Amino acid sequence: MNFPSKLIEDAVSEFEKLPGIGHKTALRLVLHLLKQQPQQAQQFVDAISRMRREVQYCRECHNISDADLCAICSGSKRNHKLVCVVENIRDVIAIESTQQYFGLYHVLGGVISPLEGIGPEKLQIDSLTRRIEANGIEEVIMALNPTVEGDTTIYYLSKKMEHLPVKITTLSRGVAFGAELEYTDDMTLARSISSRLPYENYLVQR
Amino acid sequence: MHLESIHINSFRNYAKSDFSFADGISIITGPNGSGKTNLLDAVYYLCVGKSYFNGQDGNNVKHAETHFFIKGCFADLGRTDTVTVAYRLHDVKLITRNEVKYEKIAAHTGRYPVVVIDPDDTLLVVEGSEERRRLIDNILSQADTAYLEALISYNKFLQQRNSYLKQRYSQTTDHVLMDTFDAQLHRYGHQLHDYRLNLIQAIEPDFNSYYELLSGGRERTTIAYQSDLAQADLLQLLKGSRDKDMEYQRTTLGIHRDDYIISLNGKLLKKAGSQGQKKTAIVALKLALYQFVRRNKQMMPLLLLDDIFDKLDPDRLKNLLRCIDGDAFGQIMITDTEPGRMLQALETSRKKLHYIYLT
Repeated sequence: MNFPSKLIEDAVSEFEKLPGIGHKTALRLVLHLLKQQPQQAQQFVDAISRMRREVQYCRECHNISDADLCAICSGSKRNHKLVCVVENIRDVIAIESTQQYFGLYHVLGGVISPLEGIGPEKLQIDSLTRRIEANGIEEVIMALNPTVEGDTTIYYLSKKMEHLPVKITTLSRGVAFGAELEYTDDMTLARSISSRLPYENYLVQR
Repeated sequence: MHLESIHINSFRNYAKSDFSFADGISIITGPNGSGKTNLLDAVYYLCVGKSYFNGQDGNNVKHAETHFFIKGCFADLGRTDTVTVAYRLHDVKLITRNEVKYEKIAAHTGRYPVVVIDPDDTLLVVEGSEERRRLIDNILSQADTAYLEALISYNKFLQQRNSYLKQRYSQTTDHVLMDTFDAQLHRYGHQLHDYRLNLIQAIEPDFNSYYELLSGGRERTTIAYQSDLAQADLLQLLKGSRDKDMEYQRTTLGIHRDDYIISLNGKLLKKAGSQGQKKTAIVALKLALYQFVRRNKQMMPLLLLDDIFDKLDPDRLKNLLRCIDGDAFGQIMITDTEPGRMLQALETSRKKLHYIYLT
């Protein structure tokens, strides 16, 4: 594509680098910004640049934060003895939106996958064990994806915590809420049957 | 279960074709290059979701086309299932059953079981262990979805472990991570080992009796399962070989090294067997595997026979056709270059016959 302006071309090529944005969409966004009032566009630019400059990672849980310690870690209503281990910040947002969890988080920043060059040393694992020891954490919930890499990471973490007096739990896996048994895949259904629950627990969960 | 009809579009040499099949024996005849094997492969695609004869999906798109599409109707106990396989070059393959798309192709495996006997089968005897593992994996995956799931997991953990072993030069070995991979390989490895052991024990009697029926002889055939896991458990083995694995930068022990050894009267078939004995043994093995799948799935797999005239002498062929004519086999498809030959051989068949002439 030929651009009449080098300035436009530069802006388009920056937008194109974003995930999910193709060439044409990038051009559309740039032309949209061009149509706006200069101060509106300036607001947009400022918001992004301030976000990038000022957002910090919480020193305890590595969640994104506006301060040295994030709002969750500094929250007084939170259970500070309970930590939920997740892969990334999106998972924190997903669990927070359930409004059913009142403990703290620990964001690993990924899962172990040597194939992709991610070894344990690239993840927030040492800081997790230190945190458990220093803060007297009583239970760690492993909320990682049920994949080969997720399972590897859970196993690795549990080995690393073997010597610590902490209870380790994982998310239960089974039939999705509102799903129909008929359409549930065999493996999920098989697991749900082998790890079935007493009915009283089911009532509590509802 | 049987395949009633198939529609093939832009697949191999087919532009657009429709065929229907008998629930007995369908005999596909035509000269070389008329598309007999390709028709069988299209049937195989519907059953398993991938090619049997031509490897990658891209190889199966008709020349100068960009996609292929196959649609088939399977009849089972009064109901009809429609299965489609669609593939566009450099794109993902889409498989649907009754208009519902599969999230994972693995979920389709085993729903319409199939066993193939083809002219290159003797490679199973002469080639390395990989070919034999692939055959047994294919059969067990069709017979039990849990096997396929475990196999996929094992292979992924193995890949991760090997990848870690290769990168290790840049860092000191994290033995906790190695323990992690070992424990996972141990867990899935023993599941797979039990499945394979069970299969080999289960097929032995059928393997023997089919060999006898085919050859008319008295030779005793055996198939032995050879595995690292026979001596010790995998956790111990991996622990013992860790230093060696680190040096070689790969996992040197495990079920990915398993083999299946076929013998005739106590002698290795690979070394001591004649061409005829090898062919006969492999056909007998396939028939025994057919019966294994049939027992496990409680349904009749499809049996596809490609160019069997080329590999068996007339006596053995007659014996084979007599074997599969009975109630122990369901729908069968056979290809041959000469129509007359098949007609004569199947004259007395009790199954319903159906001819497909390709030009």
